[in-house]
Amino acid sequence: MTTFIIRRLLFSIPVLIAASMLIFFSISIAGDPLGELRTRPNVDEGTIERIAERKHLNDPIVTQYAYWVRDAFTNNFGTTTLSNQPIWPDLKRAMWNTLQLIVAAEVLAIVVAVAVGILSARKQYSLFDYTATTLSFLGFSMPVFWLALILQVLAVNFLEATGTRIFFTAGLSSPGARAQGPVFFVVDRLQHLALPIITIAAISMATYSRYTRASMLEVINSDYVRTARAKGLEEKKVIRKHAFRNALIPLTTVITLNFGVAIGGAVVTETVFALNGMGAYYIRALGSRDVYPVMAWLMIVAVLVVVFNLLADIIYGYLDPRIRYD
Amino acid sequence: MGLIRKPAHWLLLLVTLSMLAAACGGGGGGASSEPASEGGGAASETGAASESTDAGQAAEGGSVVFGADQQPDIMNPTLTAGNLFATTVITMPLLEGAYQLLPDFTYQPQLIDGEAETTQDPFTVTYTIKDEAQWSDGEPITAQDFIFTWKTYVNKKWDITSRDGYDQITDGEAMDDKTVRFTFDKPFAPYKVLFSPILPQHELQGKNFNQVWNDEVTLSSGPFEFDSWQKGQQATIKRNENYYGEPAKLDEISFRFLEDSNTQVQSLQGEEIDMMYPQPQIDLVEQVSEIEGVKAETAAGTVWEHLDFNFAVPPLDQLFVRQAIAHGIDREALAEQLIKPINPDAVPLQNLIYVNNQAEYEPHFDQYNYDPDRARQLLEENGCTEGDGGIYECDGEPLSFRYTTTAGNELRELQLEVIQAQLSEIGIDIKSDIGDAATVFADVLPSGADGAWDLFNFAWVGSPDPFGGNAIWMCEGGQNYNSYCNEEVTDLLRKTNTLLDPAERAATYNEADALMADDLPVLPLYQKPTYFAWNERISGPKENPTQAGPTWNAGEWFLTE
Repeated sequence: MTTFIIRRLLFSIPVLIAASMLIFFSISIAGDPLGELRTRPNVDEGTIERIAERKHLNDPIVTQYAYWVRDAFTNNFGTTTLSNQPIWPDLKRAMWNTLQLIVAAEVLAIVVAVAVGILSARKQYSLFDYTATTLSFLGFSMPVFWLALILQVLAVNFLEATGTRIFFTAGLSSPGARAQGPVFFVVDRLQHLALPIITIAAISMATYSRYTRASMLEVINSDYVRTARAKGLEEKKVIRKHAFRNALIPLTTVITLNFGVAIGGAVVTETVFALNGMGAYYIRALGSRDVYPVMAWLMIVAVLVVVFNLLADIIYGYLDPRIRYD
Repeated sequence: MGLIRKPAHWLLLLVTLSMLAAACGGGGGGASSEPASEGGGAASETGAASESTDAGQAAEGGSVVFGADQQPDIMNPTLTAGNLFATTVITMPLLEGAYQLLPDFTYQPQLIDGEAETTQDPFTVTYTIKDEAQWSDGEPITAQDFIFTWKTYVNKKWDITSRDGYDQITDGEAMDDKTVRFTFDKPFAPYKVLFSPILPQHELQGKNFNQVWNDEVTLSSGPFEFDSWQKGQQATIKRNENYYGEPAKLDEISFRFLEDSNTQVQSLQGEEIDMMYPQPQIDLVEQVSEIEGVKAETAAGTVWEHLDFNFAVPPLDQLFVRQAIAHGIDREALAEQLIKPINPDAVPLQNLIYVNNQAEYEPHFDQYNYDPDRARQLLEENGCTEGDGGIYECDGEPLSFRYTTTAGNELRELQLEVIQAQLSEIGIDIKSDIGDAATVFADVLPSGADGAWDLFNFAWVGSPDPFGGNAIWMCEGGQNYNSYCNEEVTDLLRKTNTLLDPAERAATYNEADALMADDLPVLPLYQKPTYFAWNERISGPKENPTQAGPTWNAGEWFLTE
């Protein structure tokens, strides 16, 4: 197992290098981060030139890339072009914001989806199964921005109708929440995060419950499950130990891959709810044609995708002892 | 087996915890809707306001939440990275200057006692600083601070946005603690734009100005001072207890960063924010107008849309072609349909130098009224003939032009469609050539002389003093992208910098504008509206469409009980 992990990690290094070069070159070619500045009236020419000089924008692109590699390793991804602000604190904060959102949403989605999926499979073609199927197709087809907006509108209408605030519609906490003590802060944070969590969870739930149902159906009808039942095992044990464990493998693939990508940020959800996470960070960086923050974002997400892929492989090994890697 | 169980247990625990927390959340929300006691946030105060019948009475202190659609990169408003509306809206109530910009586009002395005194030869400006003026740490604001400000703005080490005017100062002399005189190498008529903001010498001297005010403005001269910045969420300013003038009535103002304008509307309705200053769209304005207890002001702003003709691309160098296009575009209808739903007073802009809120404004471009017959007549008089598909041909070349503008801007795309349809009526073909803003501004626009574009629709940000625009209209101007050159206009514009009499200066500017109206290098379309909406429990906000922005008088805002 250890050699497998090491081998996989080593293999990912050339992938990351190739990805970083590709993205660096294409973003650098796409536009000039100081272009917008140059068209603003009265911006001092000397200032623009000095910024270009400082960030090596006049050097050949390969040299720029070399500077980036140096900064990435020795200076936590370097600084932004225009304001020369360190990138890492901003990125770290965005990552933490996204992580809170994603972990909560995914956990909620997995728990509900697995339960719904198993029940649907066991009671195939029942009323419950049909309802769950309809709801999950609804979840699939709902545009994220629409769901997010509807949730906001509902929250505001509820507030206006009852005068009671359950959810906030935007941001991570109220101004001055931290000063009100830890309990107030946590409750306030949850009131802010609830709607985005529901939004993301609703979409993931739809996917996961379909996967659970499909793979459970496949397993439930297999020989070894029939054998387990035939030898008089209690139904609960049959489902949990014999069926579900085997059904988990495809679900693991979907969840781990989805999670790796989700850390990159839920762009729409984060924008609508003003969460300032990874997605919002990426869009802003891309909009300003600023190669350093885009690269930093990309490297973080790429590494996470690699790690989560690896994690999926490791989990397979535990779920199914027949799978051996070394 | 055990390995599966463990995560399952974790999941259970997490879910239970989050459910518990959600339940508590409901309770907390209930509590915070009660007035006073806890919460402290904007929502609770609103509750109190709506229950009271005695509106109009000033309440003591209180806080207000401003929904800002962008987070600043840095807090220092004088550096290039801070040269954004997002920064000024926060720092305007913190840092004062020699002069302040009023909503009617005039300058009023702020830190100085009465108008600055000038002499003609050599050109000097003498400021007498208010006796009581002091920094938020209690130190007086002195002549040395003015001199330090000048030296900082011209120091090449710092990423200062604009050094215009400061770079003409040859000497700064403190006559006494509160009087300072600057000598210029040549007259600089727009001197009132200078020395805003003033920087504190005792706080900043010897520090790296490119870094020191990036995360906070450590000292203030205005009614508020910097409190905190939770990056990604909000920045807060609080009352400056050492303010030399009338103290601010509010305890604090928080600027909450909500990029999505729909979210801002929901938050305004849900009373999570108290004010918003978005880029107005028609549907947004309609939504806000339906919210009870919200007041809004709109004005014609300093940002103005225009259509540029590239003189480097024949036959656009021919006056009659430009005139035909100008007569073929119904600017009244554009303003009527695109802007009036937001700003009922919207009219086409008829001057390239002044916007129509300014006293100096003269409507020179009103000669280009919508007149398709006149447009066709102009083309035919000059030997153009109607060719295939009703498109005119001049010297055998069909009148077909690329129309460049920014993609993703609903207003501009709509405008393109309307103009395309109107010009096809008079036999001129328009080909859409839209691209994303960064590309068209950074690459396409500056390459006008190489023929990278024919017609370009974008916006300039006007300034109350028009000297910034000279670079657009002068022959060798740094922002002259359409190769327009009229020596007479250039001479007049150059002269304006030395004319100290405001009336004479405005007359000269208008003389230049009248010449440009005849030359038609650019067709002005209209001013973009500004839109400021706030909860009625706040008294005192007043829209300021100049660069000063909506927080220009934040010290006067108060909550009504």
